[in-house]
Amino acid sequence: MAEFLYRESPPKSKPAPQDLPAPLLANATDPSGYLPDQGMVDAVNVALLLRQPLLLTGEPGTGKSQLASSVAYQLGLDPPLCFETKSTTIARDLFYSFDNIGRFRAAQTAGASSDAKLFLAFNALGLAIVLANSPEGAGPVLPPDFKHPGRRRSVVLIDEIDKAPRDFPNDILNEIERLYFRIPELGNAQVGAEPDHRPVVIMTSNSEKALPDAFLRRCIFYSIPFPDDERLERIVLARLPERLVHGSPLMRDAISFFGHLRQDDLALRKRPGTAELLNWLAAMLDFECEPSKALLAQAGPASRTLASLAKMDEDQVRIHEAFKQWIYK
Amino acid sequence: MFCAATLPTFLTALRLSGFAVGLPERQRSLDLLVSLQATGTMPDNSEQLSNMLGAVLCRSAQQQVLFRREFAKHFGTWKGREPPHDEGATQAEPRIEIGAQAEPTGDLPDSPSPVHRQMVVRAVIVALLLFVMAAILKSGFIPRVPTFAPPAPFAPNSIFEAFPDWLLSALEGPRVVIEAMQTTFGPATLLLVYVVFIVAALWIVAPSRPFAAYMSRRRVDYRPQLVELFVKPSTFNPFLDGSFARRVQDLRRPRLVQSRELDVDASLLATLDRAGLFSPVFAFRRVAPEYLVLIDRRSGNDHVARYAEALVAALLQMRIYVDVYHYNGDFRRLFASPGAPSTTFEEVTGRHPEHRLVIIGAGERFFDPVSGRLVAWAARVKSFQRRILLTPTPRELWGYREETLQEGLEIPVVAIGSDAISAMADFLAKDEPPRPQAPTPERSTRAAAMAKLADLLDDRPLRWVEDGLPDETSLGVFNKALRQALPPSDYDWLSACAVYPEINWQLTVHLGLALPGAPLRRGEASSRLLHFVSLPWFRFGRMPSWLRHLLVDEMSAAVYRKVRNTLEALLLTTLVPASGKFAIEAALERGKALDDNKAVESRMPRAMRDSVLIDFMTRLRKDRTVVRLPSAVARLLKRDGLLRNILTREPQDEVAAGAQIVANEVEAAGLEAFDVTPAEEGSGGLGPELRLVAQPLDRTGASVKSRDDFHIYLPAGVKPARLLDGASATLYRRRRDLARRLSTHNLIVVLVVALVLYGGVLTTASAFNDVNSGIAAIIAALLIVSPYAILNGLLVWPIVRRFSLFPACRPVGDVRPYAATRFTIESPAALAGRYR
Repeated sequence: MAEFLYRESPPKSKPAPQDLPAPLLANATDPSGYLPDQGMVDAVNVALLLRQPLLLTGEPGTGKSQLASSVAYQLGLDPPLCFETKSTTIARDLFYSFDNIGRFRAAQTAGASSDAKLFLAFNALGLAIVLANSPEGAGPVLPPDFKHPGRRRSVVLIDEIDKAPRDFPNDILNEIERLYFRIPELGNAQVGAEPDHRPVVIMTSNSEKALPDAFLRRCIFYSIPFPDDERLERIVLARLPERLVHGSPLMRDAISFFGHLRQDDLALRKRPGTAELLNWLAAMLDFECEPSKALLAQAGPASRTLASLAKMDEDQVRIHEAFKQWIYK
Repeated sequence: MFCAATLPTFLTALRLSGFAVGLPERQRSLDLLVSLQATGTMPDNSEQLSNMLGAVLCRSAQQQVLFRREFAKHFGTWKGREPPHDEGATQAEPRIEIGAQAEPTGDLPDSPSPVHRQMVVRAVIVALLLFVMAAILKSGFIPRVPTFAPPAPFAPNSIFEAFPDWLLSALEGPRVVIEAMQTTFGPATLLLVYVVFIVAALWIVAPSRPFAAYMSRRRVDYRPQLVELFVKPSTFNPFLDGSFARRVQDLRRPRLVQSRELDVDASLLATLDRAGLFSPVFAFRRVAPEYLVLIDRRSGNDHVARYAEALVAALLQMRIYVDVYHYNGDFRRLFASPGAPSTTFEEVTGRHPEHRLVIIGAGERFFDPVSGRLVAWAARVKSFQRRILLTPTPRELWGYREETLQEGLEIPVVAIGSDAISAMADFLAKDEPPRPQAPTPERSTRAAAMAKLADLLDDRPLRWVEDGLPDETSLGVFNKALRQALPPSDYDWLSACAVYPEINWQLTVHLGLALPGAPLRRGEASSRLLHFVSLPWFRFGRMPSWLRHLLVDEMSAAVYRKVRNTLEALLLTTLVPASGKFAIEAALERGKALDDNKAVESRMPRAMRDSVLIDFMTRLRKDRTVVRLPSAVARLLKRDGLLRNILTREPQDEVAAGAQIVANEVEAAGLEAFDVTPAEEGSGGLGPELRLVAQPLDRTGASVKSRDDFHIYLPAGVKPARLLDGASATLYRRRRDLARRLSTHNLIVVLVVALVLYGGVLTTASAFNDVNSGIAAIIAALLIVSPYAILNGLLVWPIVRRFSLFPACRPVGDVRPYAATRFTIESPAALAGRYR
C-alpha cells in the first residue's frame, strides 16, 4: 500500500518539497463530462429558443453553476463570463465598474488624461453586451486599451443571485430582458446587444431568499431535482471514468449508502450532495479501496474517508454511526 | 403537430391552481410552440413538451411538480407519436384529489363513466345468468319431481296466485306441470333462493342506491385512502384594515448605508474646502429594509402561527421584504418551511445580518423551568441591532415573563394585535426608536376570569387536549371557567369549531365571520381572534372528543343549524373552480379493520390512525359531531365505494400495482423472511388462508421497519404462499366475506323452506329419492352451491388470480405452511424448480 504524504508521526528532518498526487477528479470542470437531466436540457432549449435568461435552482452540488460551461461548450462559444453575486452587489456591478478615485487622481495630475472611458471596466453581462456589438458599434464606450475580439455571442453566468440585496433583481428587470445598459459617467451612453448575438444568460439561486415575481416572470425557470441512483451512477462514471466501471460493487454500495444518508429520518443538518459523493468515492479510491469489492469488505479504509461527506461536526458523528449500522446490518 | 387550441384552457386551469399566468406567459407559451414548430423540433413525447412549457410557466420547484401533474391530467401522456388532437380540454374540475393508492381525480358526475358502462354489461350478464339457470332447472328437472303430500297446516294454493302470470310463464313452460300444488318445493325454493339472489344482484348494480357521506373523527387500524377537498378560502386577514397601508409605510422606508462608491459632488466640495487636497467622500445608498420573522409554531395546525402568518402575508402584500422561519419553543433550531431540514440561528444570522428581527411567540421556553431565569441562548437575539418580540399572550395576562424578556433581552415586548404594526414601525424603522415602556398588564373586568382559565390550562397543558375524559369535578370547574372567560359569542364560536371533526384555521375564520353576533368583522384588526386562537385546542390543532361533545351538545338548535349551513356551503365550494383553494384532508373508508394486532397499528403513521373519516352510509346519523358531506360532493367520491370495488377492473389493477409495490419494497429493504402470527392467535377474522406478518426480517435476521403491513396468503393445494400488501389482503377479505355471507344466507333460506314445506330435511330428501335420488341430489347441490360458485367467480377469483404476481414464499423449516410461523422469500428459479 502506498504511503500518504502526511503522516501521524512527522519525519525527523524536513523532507524535500513533495509533489501532490494527480487529483482523480481533475476533470470536474470539464464541460464534456457534464450530464444534464432531460428537464434541464429542455429548459435550456426553451431559453435559447425564446432568448430569455434561464434561472436555475436546486440543492447545492446539483451542477447549477457548471451548466453555463456546458452550454458554452455545446454552442461552441468561449468559456462563460461569470459574475459572482455578493451581498453588496448593486445593479451597475453586473455591467461595469467605474474608478472614480482614479479619475479624481488623474484630474489632479498634470498631463494625465481624464477621459472617462479610461476608468471604465466592463463586468460579465456588460462585457457580453459589448461583445455582441461590432467594434465600431461599441466604439463610443470602449476604453482605448480595450481589444475587441470581434462580434460574438457569449454565455453569462450570474451565480447565486439570491445573495444580492433585494433591490438587485428589481433593478435589473429591463436590462436583463432587453439586454442593454446605460453609463451615466459617459453622458448616459446606452449600449445594447445586437439581436443576432444576444448573450445567453444563466442565473443560479440557492433559494435562500425569494426572488420578486416581476423578476421571475422574465426568466425561464428550472429547479434541478436531485438525481436518482441511475443518474448518480452515470455522473460518477463520467467523472471517474478511469477508475470505476458500470456496476462496480464499490460504487453501487457507495451510492446506496449515500441514498441512505439523504433520507429524512437521519436528520443530517447538511445532506450531502453529488459533489460530496464524488469526493467520497475519489477519497476511497485514493485510500486504495478496490472498485471491484463491496463496501462491506473494505469498511475500514472507507470509514476513514467519511469526513468528505460531512460538513458539520454533529453530522460527522451521525454519518459515522449511520455507516456502522448500514455496513453491519 | 401539437394542437395549440387547447392551450388557453390549460393555462386557465393553471391560473386557477395558483400559477402566475398572465398575458406575457400566454404569449411566451405560444411563442415557444411556434418556435418549436418553425424549427422542426416539436417534441414527440409528452414529458419533453411538459418540461418545456413548465420552464416557461413555473416559478418554483413545487410548481414544477404540480405542473407536470396538471399537464399529464390535461393532455395525457404519449410517446413517439403526436398528442391527441380531438380531445376537448376539460374545464377546470372540482378540486378533489385522492392520495395514496388511487387515481388522482374523480370524473364529473354527469360525464360518461366506464363504471356505468360496465355496470350495465354486468347487470345484463347477471340477469341472463339467473334467467337461464332458472329455465334450465325448471324445464329440465322440476317436472320430474313427483307429487307428495304437503304438511297439514300449510295451504299452498295461495303460493302461485301471488305471482304474476308473466313471471310464471318466464320460469317454466306448460302451466300444467305445476298444477299439483304438492310439487311446490322445487319452484318455490327456486324462486325464494333467486329472490334473495336477485335482490343481492340488484343491490350491487343499483346505480343510485340512496346513501350519504358523513365525516367523523375515528381511530382506524387499517390504511385509509386519503382525499383532499379543495375548498374556497376566506379572504379575511385580521391585519388588512383600512389604515394598514398607511401604517406600514414606515416599515418600507429605505435605510441609508455607506457604499464603496465615491460621492463625486461631495468629494469635490471636500477637496476644494481642503485647498485641493484630495478628500474622498463615500456615497450613501438607499437600501430597502428587510425583516427576519421567527414564528413559534407548536403544531402543524397552530392557529397562533397562522395568525402570525396572516401578518406576514399582509406585509408581503405591501411589498415589504420578509424572510420567515419557524421554531418550536427554542429558536436555536429554525425551519424555513414545515418538513424542511432545520437551520441554526447562527446560520440564519449570518445569512441575514442586516435584517430587523421580529420574534412572534410568547417566549415560554426562553426561561429555565427550574430557576425561572432566562436561558443563556435567548440572549442571542441581541446579535440583531433592531428587534422586537410580538407576544400572543393577552395583555390581561402579562406579568413577570414579559417584564423579564424586555429587560433581560433588551427587546420591546408588544402584543401581536392591532398595535403591532405601529410598534414595529416605531421600534424597527425609526432612526431614533423610543424607549420601550414597561410591559404592564391591562386591567379589565374579564381579566380575573381569563387568569383563572389560564391557570387551569397552564397547570397541566396537555390535560385538556388529551382524549381521556376528566373527572366530573374537574370538568365542572373547567366548564365554568371557560364560560366566564369567554364572551357568549366567543363561546358559541368555540362550540361551532367543535362541530367539524378537525380544527382548521380556515374553518375557524369562516365560522367566526358567519356566526350570529359575528365574533370577527372584516376590516377590523382583531385582537379578539388572537385571544380566541390562543386557547390550547387551537394551538395544538386538535380538540378531544369529550370536549367536542360537551360543547356541541349544549349548542342551541339555531346556532347549530347555522354552523351546519356554513360548513355545507363551504364544502360545496369544492365544486366551484377558483384559485388559491385550501385543502381539507380526510380519509375514505377502505374496508373493515383487518385485526386488532398492535403491530399493524404501531407501523401506521399516527395521523392516519386518527383521521377525519368519510363513511358512506344509508342510515341517518343523529350525532351532532358527525358532519354530513353535501351529496353533490359525496357523489364525486362515490366511485371509490362499493360500486367501483365490485364492478370495475380498477381494484384488480390496484392489486397488480400492489404486487409491484411489494416486490419493490422487498428488494429495496432487502427483506428475506417474515415472522407471521400463528394461526390460532389473533387471526381476527383473517381466515385460515391469511396470516398477518408480525415482523419483516432482512437477510441477517434483523427486523426491518416497513412502510406497509404485509400478509401471507396460503392457497389450498400445493401452490406457493404469496406475500401480499395490506390493501390487497383487505380487498380479498372483503370480497371473500361478501360471497360467504350471501351464500350462507342462501343456505339458510333453502333449509328453512325445506323445513317449513316438508317438515325437515330428511323428509325432503326422501321426497327426492322417490323418483331419482341422483337428480334430486344434484338439484339440492345446485341450489346450495351455485350461488357461492357464481359469487366466488365474480368477486373473489379475479383477485386471487392476480395473487400470482406477488412474491412467492415458503415456510422456513420442515413444517406445513398452515403451521409455519416464519416464511422466506422464494426466488423465481427455486419456485420454477419446485413446481416443475
